[in-house]
Amino acid sequence: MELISLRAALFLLGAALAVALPLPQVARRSALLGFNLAFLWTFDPLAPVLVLGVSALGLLGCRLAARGAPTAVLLLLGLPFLVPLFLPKLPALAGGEADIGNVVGARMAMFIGASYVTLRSLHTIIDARRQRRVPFSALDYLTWNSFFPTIVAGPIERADHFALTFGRLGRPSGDDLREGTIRIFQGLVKKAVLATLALEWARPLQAFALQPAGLGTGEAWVALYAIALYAWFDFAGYSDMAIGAARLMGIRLAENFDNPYLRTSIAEFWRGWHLSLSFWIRDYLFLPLCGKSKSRVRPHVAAIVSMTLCGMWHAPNAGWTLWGLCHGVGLSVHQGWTAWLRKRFKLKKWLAGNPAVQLVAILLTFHFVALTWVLVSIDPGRMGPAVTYLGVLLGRTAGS
Amino acid sequence: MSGVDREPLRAHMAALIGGDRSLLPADGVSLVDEGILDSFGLAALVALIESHYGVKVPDGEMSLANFESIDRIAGWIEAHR
Repeated sequence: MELISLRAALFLLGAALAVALPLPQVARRSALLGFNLAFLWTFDPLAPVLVLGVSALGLLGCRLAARGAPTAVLLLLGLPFLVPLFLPKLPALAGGEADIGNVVGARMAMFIGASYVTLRSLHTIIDARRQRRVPFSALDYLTWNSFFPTIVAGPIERADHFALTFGRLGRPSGDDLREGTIRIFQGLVKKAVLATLALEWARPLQAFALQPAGLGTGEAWVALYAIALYAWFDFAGYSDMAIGAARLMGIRLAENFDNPYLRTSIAEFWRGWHLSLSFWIRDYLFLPLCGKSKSRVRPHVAAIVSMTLCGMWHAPNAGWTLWGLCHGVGLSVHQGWTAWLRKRFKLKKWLAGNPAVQLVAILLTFHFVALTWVLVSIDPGRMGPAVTYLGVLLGRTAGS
Repeated sequence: MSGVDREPLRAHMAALIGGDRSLLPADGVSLVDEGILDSFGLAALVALIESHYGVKVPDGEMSLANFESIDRIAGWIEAHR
């Protein structure tokens, strides 16, 4: 189903009305689960089966973890979660076409491999182990984990946050209806208008692998800024629509973006970009990897490993892996700078209060992030074109 | 006020900002907002809480929200020992 289409709008309206029928909550939630599966079915007839399968595995993991099952059992159970992430690479690994469409099931693998369902399932297993309790009943778990507004591109709504308003399913307040409608409209403007415009300006970058010759340095910089804006408008626009759609049903999702390009450091950027992923990485990868250690080095290693894995989660190829590594190293370097500056606390305070310094910090952060988009926006499978493009930005000539 | 000895906590935070205790904010002020404590510093703080106060910090409790200020840290220790 096209997400921006009359069909999608009618589907959302139908779901919002169906869950608002004066029925018991179990019936409302069953109806929502039905809409979730129907939504998945429009992408691929096997998608509902796969999502239900992964969710059922997550639920089983939760129940075992809550009963104190050994780590080895949970790890064994977790292995199937990793398979969808790497299925899309199979054609290339087999030496054949890299076109994932040539592999049966790869489309769904990409779909759930992208894998918001996986991250949601994993977090409930980890939390169940920590808290010795399962967050939802079986029906609620499946409904939450296949919730159609968030299934394609998040936010990675956590079970505990979802539970806060799940009881209001189908009973939106006047504020919910108004705010939900506004958010959907804002999302539409970002995704259908602003992202589309930005994408036009970003074409030279996207087409660089095929048409490297003749691209000037100025044009390359414009395309770089455009791709950065496109990434933000497109993704934040989708999040707005997901948040708005959920709100029409009475459910409040966590926010996913907060002015990411107006941040003064890479650490701050990750407090504004794809928040549901960034907090997931922090809570379930970075902090456990840090342990409870006084080591000064370990958090740096944890940051680099966490962000590299974050990159590989987006897609297990060279571009996204390097993208994650760059962000991990960026966080580590920034932390080194912060620790040094913190020892000179008066200077730190002065810098934080100086508008000119803050402006420079915002520009530096934005350019760092924008440059990393080059790694994944041309051909994430090979780094040659991206490296050449970076050379063009520095004034070199490409393709001559 | 809790009966937790706050001096080791203040000393830990003061060390992060170069040792000048006069620059430390009041116990109720957010150390995160002041730029003294962040995710990178959380592990070392938790290690201090466990080793000095003998309170085990469960993995699920390791968050900046629980340890945002000296008051909150002391309150958490008091509630968990």
